[in-house]
Parts: sequence; structure tokens; C-alpha cells
Amino acid sequence: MRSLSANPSLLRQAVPVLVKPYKSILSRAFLFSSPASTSHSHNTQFLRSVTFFSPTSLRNFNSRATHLNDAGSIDSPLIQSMQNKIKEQLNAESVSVKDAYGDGRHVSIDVVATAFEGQSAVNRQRMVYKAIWEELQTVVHAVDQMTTSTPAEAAAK
Amino acid sequence: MQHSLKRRNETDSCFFLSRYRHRSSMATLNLSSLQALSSHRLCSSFPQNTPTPSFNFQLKPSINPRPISLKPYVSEKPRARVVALAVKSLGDTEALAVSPENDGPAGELPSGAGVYAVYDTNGDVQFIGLSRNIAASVAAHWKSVPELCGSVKAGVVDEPDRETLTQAWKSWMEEYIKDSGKVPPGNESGNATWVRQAPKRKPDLRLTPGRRMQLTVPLENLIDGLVKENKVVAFIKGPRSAPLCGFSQRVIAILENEGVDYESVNVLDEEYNYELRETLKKYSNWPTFPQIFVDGELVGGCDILTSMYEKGELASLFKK
Repeated sequence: MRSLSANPSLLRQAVPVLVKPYKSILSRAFLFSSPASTSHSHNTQFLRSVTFFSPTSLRNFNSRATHLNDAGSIDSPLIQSMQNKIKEQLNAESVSVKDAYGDGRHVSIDVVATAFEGQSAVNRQRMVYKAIWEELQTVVHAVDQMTTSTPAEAAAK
Repeated sequence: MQHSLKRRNETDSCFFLSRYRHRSSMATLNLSSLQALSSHRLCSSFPQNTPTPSFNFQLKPSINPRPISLKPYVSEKPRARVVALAVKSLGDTEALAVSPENDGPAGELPSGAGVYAVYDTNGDVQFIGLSRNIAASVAAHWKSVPELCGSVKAGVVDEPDRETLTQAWKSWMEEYIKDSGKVPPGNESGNATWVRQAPKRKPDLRLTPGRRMQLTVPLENLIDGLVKENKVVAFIKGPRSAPLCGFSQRVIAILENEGVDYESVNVLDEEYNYELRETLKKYSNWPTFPQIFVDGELVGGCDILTSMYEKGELASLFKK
């Protein structure tokens, strides 16, 4: 009887708290989504953001869209041109530039070059970017994926 | 004290039985009769040939209008339902080790909703909580106070509405209090160790006081100072709380998941960061965004950061 009577007061001291899981943990699934999902997420995010634009931002958006239209999309001659530039400036063994999703704005680049020896990942990509800097300023919206390998690394795969 | 104790019991009884009857309007009348009947049964010493007047009075109305209501009195079904709703008792639940090698709880922990108890390495209960995702909550505790997480007992609740979760939590708390005579340290009022406080998001940095102000130093110098004075700086498209591009979003998710203390700069902010995009491209020789700087050096964009994250190289990078 005494122990029972003691329980309520002790219980009242405790705090019933609903512990919610960290959002970052739940977001782990997103981190490992496939490239296709990434593209979808990217486009969705981009489209969704339109509704939140202020008049000023809307003007910027229109200006940007116009710019993209004027500059035109990525086409075969442009891809060939970028491949040639990379191949020549880096003296690369092999170069591949693809329109990643067929939307004319994203590219995927794969380069194998001896010049990458001893270079960090960021510097290797810098070397590629330098070769096609002009195109990246105008036509290409994003480089979705880039691989930079030395011939030895490429052979190991 | 006696009165409040009795009232609590009545409340619990009403809660369970009303659920069984789908909260029908007849619950009150039947409950009242049932309680009187139960009370009569429990007092075995009470002579049957001299029932109390109140008992007689309450029993009569229920018989005449609802003869069928007699059935629940002889059936044990309601009690079985009540028992089925509860989780296994705290004492009967097995403890699962929280392995330090795993950097979090082992995979055996359920990710469903329910109640859980955290034990330290001495086998003492530190905290009893309820959660919509037990595994995620325990992982969160492990991250913040690993020295207090030795093992965990988890009880999954099949119908996890707020009321049921609270009931399960109460039953484990009462059982622990009955055994130990005290409240778990983590559940004492005022103890905030086990409760995640809402993260206070840092504001995005602004490079200039505004577009109307004249810069007295070149923008390149502002960028250079910024990346060298802060350990981690992410130049992203859009604000930290709502990135406007999938790649920036992924970078923010990685940094948040690593628990890094970082600064962010919205390169699309035309009022305070105007002309930043073009200047930063030349500064870093990098044509795209996001760009992540660590210790004043460009680490790369989204794909390099993602690659390092997947290889587990980020922890050492941010510790240097």
C-alpha cells in the first residue's frame, strides 16, 4: 500500500517527452539516391522554387531563361568541340562528354590522362574545367558527373 | 492521496473499455455498472445476502433497456484486448547492446514507434523515452551522450497514436519506479540531456553591407579573408535552410549529417552578395556551384564532397 501511494508523486516528477529522430538521419536515404533521382530532385526543386520568387527574383529568372534560350542548348558539334579541347590541352588518352539527361543543360565528363598523375581530385577537375571554361560560362548549366583517371587507374577498373 | 489514486485507476479503466466499445454513448452507463459489479466481486468478505443500496440502484436500469449488455459481464474478451494493447513489461524485455564499433546502435533495434529504455555500461537505467522511430532516437542519443549508452530495451507499440505511446511509456516508468523507488536520471524535470533541442541554424554570411554601399576593398579580398578565417565555408545556390539547387541541397545534407560547424554563403543573394558568382569563379578557378572550402582551400563541388563522404574521408578532413 505504501509503495503504491508513493508512485504517483514520483511519476509526476518525470517528464513524458516524445523524442523525435534527427532529421539528418532520415535524410541519409536521399544522400545515396541514384543519379536519375538526383536529376528528378534537382528539377523538382528548381520548378518548386519558382512559386517563391519575388518580383525581383522573377525578373532574374526570366533574364536567365532568356539567356539560356539565346545561347542555345548543348548539341553534337558543341560536345565534339569540348572533347577536342580537353583532348588537346590535357594531351588526354581518352575523353567522353555526354549530354547526361538529354535536357541540353547537363553534361557528364570522363577523362583519362597522364597529366593527372600526382594531382588531387579538385585539381584534376580544375584542369578539365580550364580547357572548356568558355562553354561552362555560357551553355552548360552543370557538370553532373566527372571522372578523372590516370591510365593506370583506368586500367585498374 | 487515496482519492487521486482511485481517480487515476478509474480513468485508465474508462480509457481501455471505451476503446473496446468504439466510444459508444452507452459506455458511461455500462462502465458504471461494471465497476460496481467488479467492486462487489473483489470484496469477497462482503455478505452476498446484504448488498449495498447503491449497487442495487445502479444495476436495475441497465437490465431493463439493454438486456444484451449482460454479455460483457461474463466474457473475458475486454480484458484480453486491454492486455494486447500493452507492450511487454520492462523486466521481460531483452536488452540490446549499443556497440561502439558501429558508431551507433546495432541493426537489431526496431525502427518502429514505441517505448525504449537506455542503460549505461553499469546496467543502470538512464532514460526511458517514447519515439516514432526508436532506432533513430537511440542513434541520436548515442551521438550526443555515447558514454551513457550501453544497452537498450525497446518495446514496439502496434497502434502508435499519442495516447497509446504515452500509456506504454507510463507502464515502463511505473514498473521502474516500483522496482527502484526513484525516477531515471534522464527523466527528471530540468534534465535536458536526452531531449534534442531545436537546432539553431546559422544565418548565411553576407559579404557586403548592401548593394547601395561602395566597396572599399576588392571583392576578391573579402572572399580570401572569409575562406581563411573560417574553417569550412560552403558557397551554395540559395539559403542554407532552403537550397534552390539539388547539388547545393546535397552538400548541405552532407555537412549537417557530419555535424560540421560550417558557414554558408548564398551566391544568388543579389542584395548582399552581388557580383560574387563571377568573382568567385575566377578566385577558385572553378566554374560551378556549390563550392566547398576547408582551411582556405577549395575541396571541390558536390561530386567530390559526395565521393569523400561515401569513402569516409570527411571526418579526418574536418578534424585537421
